[in-house]
Amino acid sequence: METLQLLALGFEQALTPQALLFCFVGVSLGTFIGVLPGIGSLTTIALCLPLTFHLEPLLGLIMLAGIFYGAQYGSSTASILLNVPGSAPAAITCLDGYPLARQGRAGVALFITTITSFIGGSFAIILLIFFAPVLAKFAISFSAADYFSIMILALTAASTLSVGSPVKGLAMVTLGLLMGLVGTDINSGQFRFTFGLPALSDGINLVALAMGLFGVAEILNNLASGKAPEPLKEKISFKQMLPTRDDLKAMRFSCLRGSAIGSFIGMLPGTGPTIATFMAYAGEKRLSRHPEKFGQGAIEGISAPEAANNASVQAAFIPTLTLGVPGDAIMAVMLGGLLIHGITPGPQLVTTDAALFWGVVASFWIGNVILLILNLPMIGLWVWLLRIPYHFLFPAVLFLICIGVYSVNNNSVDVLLTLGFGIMGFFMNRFGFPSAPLLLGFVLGPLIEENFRRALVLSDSQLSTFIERPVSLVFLLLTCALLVYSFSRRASAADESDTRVNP
Amino acid sequence: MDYGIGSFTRMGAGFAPMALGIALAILGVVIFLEAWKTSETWLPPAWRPFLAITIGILAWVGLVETTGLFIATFAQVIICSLALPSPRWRNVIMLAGILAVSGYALFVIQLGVPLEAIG
Repeated sequence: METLQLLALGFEQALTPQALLFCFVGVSLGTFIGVLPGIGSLTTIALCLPLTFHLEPLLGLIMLAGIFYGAQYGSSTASILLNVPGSAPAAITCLDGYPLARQGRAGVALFITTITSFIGGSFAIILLIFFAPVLAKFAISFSAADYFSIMILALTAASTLSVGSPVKGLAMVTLGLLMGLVGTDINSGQFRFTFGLPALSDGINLVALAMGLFGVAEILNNLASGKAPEPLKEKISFKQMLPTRDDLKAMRFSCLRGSAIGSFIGMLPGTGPTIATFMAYAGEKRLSRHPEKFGQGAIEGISAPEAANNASVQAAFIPTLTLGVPGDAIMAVMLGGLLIHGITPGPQLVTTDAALFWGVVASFWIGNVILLILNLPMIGLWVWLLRIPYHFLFPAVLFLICIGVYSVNNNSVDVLLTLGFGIMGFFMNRFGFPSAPLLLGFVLGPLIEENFRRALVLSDSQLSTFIERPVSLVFLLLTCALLVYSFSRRASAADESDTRVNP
Repeated sequence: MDYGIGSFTRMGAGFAPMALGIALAILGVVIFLEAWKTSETWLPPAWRPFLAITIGILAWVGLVETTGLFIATFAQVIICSLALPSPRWRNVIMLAGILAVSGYALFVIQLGVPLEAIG
């Protein structure tokens, strides 16, 4: 088995004391910031991203992966205990997690979250190990036209399958694509949309954009809408975390079903954890003999979506690493992080840079294990962090945003841009324009332009190349089907009632 | 400078901005028409926290390279805290001190960001 040999090689690299240390630092840091109330996982990752830039690629990636897991876990802890979901998937966990917390069983809810996240993540990592090389082999024959169409599908899915208006989602993707063009055009060397600012000649800084749209905008939202998160009152000890036999029984199969749904959804381009958690929750409710218990603190109601959440974010690395096409905003930030480290994800990463690829895969799993052993005993510390009042937190986070963005290029214009994007994100939120598609469009913008250009050069400027190549045709047809579906669904939903969920 | 649109074989630097600009304009019109049909009123945000945070960040940017990280951080934390109806100033000053020192230790000493403590 060639795969297993390569995997062993990967573990060899990821188990060096240095790699373990950075994985540990990443996981702790990610959980630490992720658990702070009112800070979502994307903000956490963007906030920690500059800290990895100074490391060599493999160590930087290992730390980044650790931050990524920690951030996911920390945010779900905060959302269960405080009932302030930092993201759409966390909102699903809150449906049953918060009622459990109100019944004095918050400890059990956290335990179940930890275990199911670990199982979901591990499930998807196994899939990644065996499926990524196969997909990479297949994808090596993809042409520029195929990549263009996959990216179009990913962008369409990400903007229309989320909550809210699909038109607004598409508009934000387009705006993101346009913002991705800012900087030097690689083909002609001309500056585009730089407004004469030298700081923009390399394009808009990804960290500045992500921190503005998510970090600053979240804080403005909380304060200017009067929705500052309340600090936690109760205490939780390790003893309270131990589940009963019935809890474990309820968790067992629902967690596996959640993992399977999550892994499948996560692999598809453009469909992220939001859809995965929602489908896992709906599926459990339908399967259950007591559907009325959902929303009242059903164990299945947290174990399935949490497993699905972690499985899908993990499985989302399959298209991100093998095709270079991220599925959601968090993956887009991760992809941006990889690019900054000088790593271009794609089929050639799996084949030519095997040591790096497998080192990262191995460290994914190690990160998961560290998360498990870090979180069960240290739950007291994380819960203590939830007691920090918001009036201490928000100036501190704003300070971290300022100095974090500054440190990327040692440039204060980037901090000004962050503020601008923050104000923009704040008003986008108020008017129901989603920020996640914008970020995804921003990262994919240059790639889409380049693949479109290359496809046309290769085909003697025949636009028909996009429908003559079978792979490209399939993805374009899927895109059309998706557009028809989301607009017809929207039309019928608008007839019944205008159900609105915060993005 | 010339932002040529070019042809499909030789796309100019202006091709993608042009295509995306047209798409965005069309989507904008659709959103405008959709909004026309509904009758939602918009609630203005609470301006005090909005302005406090905006001015706080502007102060940090304006001061950090001239008067150094410490003064910039104190200014940012104090101005941002004005977002609250009644800030407790002793706590705010303490927080600013902790942030300035730990930020200096991590970013300037550890990561080598070229900033002065006091400029």
